Amino acid sequence: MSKEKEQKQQVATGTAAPETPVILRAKSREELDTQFQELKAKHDGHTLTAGAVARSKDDGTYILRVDIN
Amino acid sequence: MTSLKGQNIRILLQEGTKFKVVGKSTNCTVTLTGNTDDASTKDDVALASKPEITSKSWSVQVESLDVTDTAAVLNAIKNLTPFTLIWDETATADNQTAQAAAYSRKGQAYLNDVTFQWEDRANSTKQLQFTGSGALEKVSTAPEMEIVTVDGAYTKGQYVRLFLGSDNSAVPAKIVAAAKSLSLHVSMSLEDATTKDTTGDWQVQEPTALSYDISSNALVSSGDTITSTVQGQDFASIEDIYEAGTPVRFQIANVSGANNRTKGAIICSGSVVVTQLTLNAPNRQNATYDTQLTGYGIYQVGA
Repeated sequence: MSKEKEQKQQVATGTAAPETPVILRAKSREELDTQFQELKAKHDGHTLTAGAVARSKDDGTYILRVDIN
Repeated sequence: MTSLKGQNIRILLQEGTKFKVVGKSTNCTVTLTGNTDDASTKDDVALASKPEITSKSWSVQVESLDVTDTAAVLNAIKNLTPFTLIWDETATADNQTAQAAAYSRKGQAYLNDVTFQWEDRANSTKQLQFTGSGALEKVSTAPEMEIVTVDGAYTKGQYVRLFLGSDNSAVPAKIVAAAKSLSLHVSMSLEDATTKDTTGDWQVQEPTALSYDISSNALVSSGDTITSTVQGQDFASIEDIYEAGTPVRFQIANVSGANNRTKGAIICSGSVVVTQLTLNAPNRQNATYDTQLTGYGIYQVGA
C-alpha cells in the first residue's frame, strides 16, 4: 500500500465506511492510542477492530492496523 | 543445478481482482491427499491390500510473523467465506511476483484453523490452515499481483496480554500476572459434503462448528505479591475460577506502560471456562502453570 493511500485513509471522515484497513503510525504508544481513539470518534456507528501493535525495527515506529466495518 | 529455496514458493490470497502473498511468511506447506478405499477381496489370493483412490482433498498451512491483522483473521474464520488461493513460485527479485510454475495450482479453500502465539520477548506468530473445497486447477498464466509493502515491523509477545475476569459480566480488569506466553487457537470444523451430485474426485467441504481456546503459561509467585503489585490473576485466583466452573469474561489486548499492563486497543473478547489447569514444578527450575481456557459462545473481535 502506498504512503499516499495510507494518509488518505487516516483522514477519512464522515459516516460512510472508509476503505480499510487503516494503518495508524506513531512514534509512541500513547500517540498511537490517541490516534485510535480519534479514529473511533470519527467513525461513530461503525465497528472498529484493531490488530496487534507492531514496532518497526528500522525506525521504532509503532504500527496498528484497524479494520472498519 | 540450483534447487529452489522455500522463500520462492508462496501462498497467494485473492483480494478483489488481485492476489497478495501472505506477508512476513516463514513457512508454508501444501498437502495433497488421495483418499483410498481398499479394493482387496476374497478373490485375491495374496494378503496385500489394494488401495484405490476414491476422492482427493488438499490443504495449505502458512506460518507468518505478521499479527497486525489479528482482527481481520478472527473475522475471516467466522465469516465462513471461502478464500481463493494459489501456491506458486515467485520471482527472486522480490519474492512476491508470481511466475505460474508448472506445479502452481488455484482453488477455493476455507480458513479453518488459526493459531496466534504471543511469547514473552519473542516475535509473535500466526499459523493459518486452509482446507480446500472443490477442484484444483492449473495456473497457466501468472496472476495479477498486488505487491505487499515490507515494513520491517514485528510484534513482541509481551505487548499482547490476557485479561481475565472473575465473573461473566464485568469488563475483565485483571491481567494474568507473570505471564510467559499466550496463544489463541480458533478452529472451524469442516465436514465432507461431497455427494453423488458432485462432479469429479475432489472433496467438497462445508463448515459445521466453530470452537476456540486460549492457552496461557505463567510463573507461580506469591499470590499476595502479585495482587498487591500488579492486581493480577495468579494460580490461586485462577484455581478459584476453575473450581467455580462457570464462564468468565476475557479480553486479549495490546498493552503498554509499567509492567506492560496498561490496556490499549482490544483485539478480541468473550467468555471462557477453565478446562485445564496444570501446575509444573521441575526441580531447580521456575515453577509455572498452564491454563487452558475454552471459548463459551462466540468471541467478539474488538471490545
